[in-house]
Amino acid sequence: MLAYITRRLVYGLVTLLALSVIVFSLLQMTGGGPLDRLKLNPRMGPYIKQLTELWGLDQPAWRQYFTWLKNYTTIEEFGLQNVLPLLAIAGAAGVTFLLIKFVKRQSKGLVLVGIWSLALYIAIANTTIKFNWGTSFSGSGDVWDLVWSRAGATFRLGLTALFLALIIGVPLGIYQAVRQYSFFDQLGTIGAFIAFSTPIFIIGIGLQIVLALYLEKWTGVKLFYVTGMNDPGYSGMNTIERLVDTLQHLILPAVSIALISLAGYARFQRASMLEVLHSDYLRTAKAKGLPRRKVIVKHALRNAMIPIVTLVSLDLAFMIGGAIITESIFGWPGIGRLYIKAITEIDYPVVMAVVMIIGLGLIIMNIVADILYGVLDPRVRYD
Amino acid sequence: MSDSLLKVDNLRTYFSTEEGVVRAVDGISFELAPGERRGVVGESGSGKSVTAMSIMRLIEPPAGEIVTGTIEFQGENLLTLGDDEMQQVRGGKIAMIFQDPMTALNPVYTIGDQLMETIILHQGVSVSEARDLAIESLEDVQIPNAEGKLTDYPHQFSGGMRQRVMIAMGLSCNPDLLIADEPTTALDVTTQAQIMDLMLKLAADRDTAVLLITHDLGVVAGFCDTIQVMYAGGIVEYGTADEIFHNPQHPYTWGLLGSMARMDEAHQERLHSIAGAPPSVIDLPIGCRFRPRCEFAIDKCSKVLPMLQPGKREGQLVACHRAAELDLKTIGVSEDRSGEVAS
Amino acid sequence: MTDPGRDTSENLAEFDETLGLAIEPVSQWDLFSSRLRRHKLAMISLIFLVFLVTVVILAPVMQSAGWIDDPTKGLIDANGRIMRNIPPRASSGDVFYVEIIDTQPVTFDASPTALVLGTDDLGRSVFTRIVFGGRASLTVGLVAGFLVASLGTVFGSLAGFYPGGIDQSLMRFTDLVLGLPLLPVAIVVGRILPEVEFLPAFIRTGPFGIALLIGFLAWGGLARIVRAEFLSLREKEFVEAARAAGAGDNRIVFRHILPNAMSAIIVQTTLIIGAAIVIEAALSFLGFGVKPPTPTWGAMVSQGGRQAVRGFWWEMVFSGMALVSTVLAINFLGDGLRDALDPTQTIERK
Repeated sequence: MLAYITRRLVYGLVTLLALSVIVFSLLQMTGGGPLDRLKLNPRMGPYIKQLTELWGLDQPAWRQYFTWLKNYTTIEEFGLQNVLPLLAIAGAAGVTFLLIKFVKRQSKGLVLVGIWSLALYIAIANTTIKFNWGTSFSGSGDVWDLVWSRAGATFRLGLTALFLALIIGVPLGIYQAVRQYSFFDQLGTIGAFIAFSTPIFIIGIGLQIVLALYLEKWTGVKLFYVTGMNDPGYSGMNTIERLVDTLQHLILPAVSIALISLAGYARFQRASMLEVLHSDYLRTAKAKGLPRRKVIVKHALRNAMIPIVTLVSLDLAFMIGGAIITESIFGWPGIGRLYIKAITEIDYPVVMAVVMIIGLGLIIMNIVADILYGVLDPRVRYD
Repeated sequence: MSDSLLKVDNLRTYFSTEEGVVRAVDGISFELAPGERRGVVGESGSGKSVTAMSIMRLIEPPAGEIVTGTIEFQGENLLTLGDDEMQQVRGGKIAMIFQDPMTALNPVYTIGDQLMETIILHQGVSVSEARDLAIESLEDVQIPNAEGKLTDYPHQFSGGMRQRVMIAMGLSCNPDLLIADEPTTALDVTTQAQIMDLMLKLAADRDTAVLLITHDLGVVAGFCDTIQVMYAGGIVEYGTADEIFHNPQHPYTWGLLGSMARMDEAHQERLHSIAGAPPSVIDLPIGCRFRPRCEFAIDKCSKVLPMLQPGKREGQLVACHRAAELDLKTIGVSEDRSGEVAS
Repeated sequence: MTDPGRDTSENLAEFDETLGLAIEPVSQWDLFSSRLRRHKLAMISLIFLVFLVTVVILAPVMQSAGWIDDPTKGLIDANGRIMRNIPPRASSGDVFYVEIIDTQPVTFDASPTALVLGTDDLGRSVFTRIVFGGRASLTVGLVAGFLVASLGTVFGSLAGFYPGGIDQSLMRFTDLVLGLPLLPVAIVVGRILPEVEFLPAFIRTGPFGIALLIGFLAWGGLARIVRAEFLSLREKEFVEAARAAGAGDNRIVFRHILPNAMSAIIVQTTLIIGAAIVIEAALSFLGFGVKPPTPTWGAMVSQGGRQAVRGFWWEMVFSGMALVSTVLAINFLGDGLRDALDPTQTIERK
């Protein structure tokens, strides 16, 4: 298992390197340079040469790449706020050792995943760390600070969307499978097809225009906001007002990301549930005399929900794309919108930083999904 | 015959498909006495598994439906029982063992979980008692280190071991009837005989009647008291194992016996095979269903469907217009049939 | 029947015929087409797509016949004013457009369809632009689909047929491509593409560049599917039999394995075509796709969205409908093909 994770991490690292080379080379192919925009400003004239040297833009491309790579992986600041990070890691390691040594049950894997997530969270929360990701070419300051100041907004949007897609899509698919060929099932299938075939920006703009603009125009009630993450007067609000304001801003962009994934999950879950419902072991469960409810809840659900883990991890790449589009529609101050702005301006320290974070996120999520799959399905062996 | 354990009367189970209505079981009647070991023999598609599924009421609407008939078990018609009562019967009074042990156990629960689930459900015992009973039932099916095996998952077991677990699960609640649907077909030849021996010995110990469904005459030969032969959704012949083997009266049974390979004698003659394939149960021919493949067919056979009637010998039933006149001799069936294993 | 020879089987065939029992041979194609025809939505989708492809191919012909207009030119009314954001209506005849011929502006009558779906912010006919926009979308879909099908099949079948080193290295490469986040990378390419001077112009600004980009990024999934098909088919009895009969690798791959893997390839490619159209639309929507003034549905939704906020809903609604119905039709067709091509499908009540 450990060997498996290590190997996956090594492959992931190779993929990340390839990604950085590809994106970096692509950025070198632009006709102009990142300073083109600055050159338009007559007052910047004297500084152009200075900046070119400072940012190493006069160097050959391969040297620029290695300079970037070296800086990107260099830790600028590192400090432990207290001993908690060390304690958490040591504790998790200890529990892992004990569990592997003494517990035979398969479910220990789930416990381990949970303990390690918690330990890593504690460790990260109590550590100050900063990499030397350079300075934005378009005057947005330090890239590390810039990216992490935006990441929270994207996490909020992405996690809400994932949550919505899962808690609606999965039960929907299960219900459809249990009531196969019913009116509801057919309605769900057609609905999923339509949602699945609608590009995310049409959903986003459609929701924006119909539920935010026209609804307000027709009824005079402002239910949702078209743009931004919070009202300008947010800091002066009390807790309830804050919560309402946050939801009013969050729901439309989250739903537009979630809808397509939701349809995909429902379709997938329906198929996987149907397969389980027709399986031999479900027939055994029925032949044992178990009540129908218990047959479905105990014997079918767990098996049918294992494959969705893989789907979710594959879907994450799609959701990131969705977040990029949705953030630019709803003016959401996340890394997706930052990415669009940076790419327009060929602000390559920012572009590279965001691309690498996305790539890293995908790799880690894929590994986590594989481990979870193995934990949930006792037949899976890592070798 | 009020002392019969199971009495099936004019059972018809149909499936509706895109191609038409499949009359998988088409009007069969039979009785089973307590403790009796009955072999149900036929080619695939003859309706023998559907018969078993109908008795368990595991036919799923809307695709399949029991159209008419009664299934009386211990004097009660199973087809009119409510869901709760039927759940008491399933696994409690009638247990079933399926063909493929590789897929019949739920892969994400341990053997212990699945055994104890049945025991708790039907015997209302506590978890720790159920655990003891589960260990006991695993020991009964001769699984070594039964206690340690409780926390194993099905994929850690071989096919033969899994089928032992299925048998343990089926017999753990002392059912009155055990339906075994091709229990050894998916296993290799050396394990087949062991599993059959084990299953029938345990059933005999508990005085459990057995309905053994198989396409393999060799299997029923050694283990069953009585045999019913099915063809295209109907029973074509019924009799004691001896009678069926020595004096088959239906040309189909005769053909089946001819196509049986025997290990205890040299093959002086070619193996006899029944020409053609079983008819599609969607477009059943008028008259006798075996007629297109029968070499003794006469005009009447294409017009009138023969009924199951007493044959030439006591207790034997046969559905053939020419049963009385034909003298079908089996080729080289010796007296000793014990423990034989056939293809 | 003591001799189970030739005459027996002939007798049997006779029996069967007289009884109406004979099994009529049904070819794979008959089975496929009857199954597809049963799938009504897929049939409607197929008809719609054939119609769409025809219209889109014939768009320049329709333009010269005067049925539709120039997609890049704004319409003007009798007073010479540009007809911005005109709501959909039947054309009254007082619609014109101007073309510069020998430095002299010449006024032409616009086509009768000019106003049926309204005009956009620059006074251009939405109907005309939707027809021409379909060219970009379908070009991207088909070219990317073809590329994905070829790359995926080649990589997947090589990896699936030659286990060991070739399989390992090809699959590592496939995993690497699959590991690239598609839209972020596509955005980078879309951004720099117009500025890459060594590429010909039709790749830099037209749908071909976007199609190549999507094709080269999206073949990984199909390669994996083809490899899995090959791995399982390679072990099948009929392949063993062919090998035992002395068939070479070429014959085994092209006669025995590939035809059986074909259904998976066709279904997957159909779905990829739909996905490619959506990705192109998304890139154009963000401004990193096909460059203006070439119309695309994605850019029209983006542009139309801004007008819809002001109440001019038609450009967005109609271009959006064109996009959604095309992708929907492709997905329905893919689903129908999957049902029709799957030979393992059991008879099941629908």
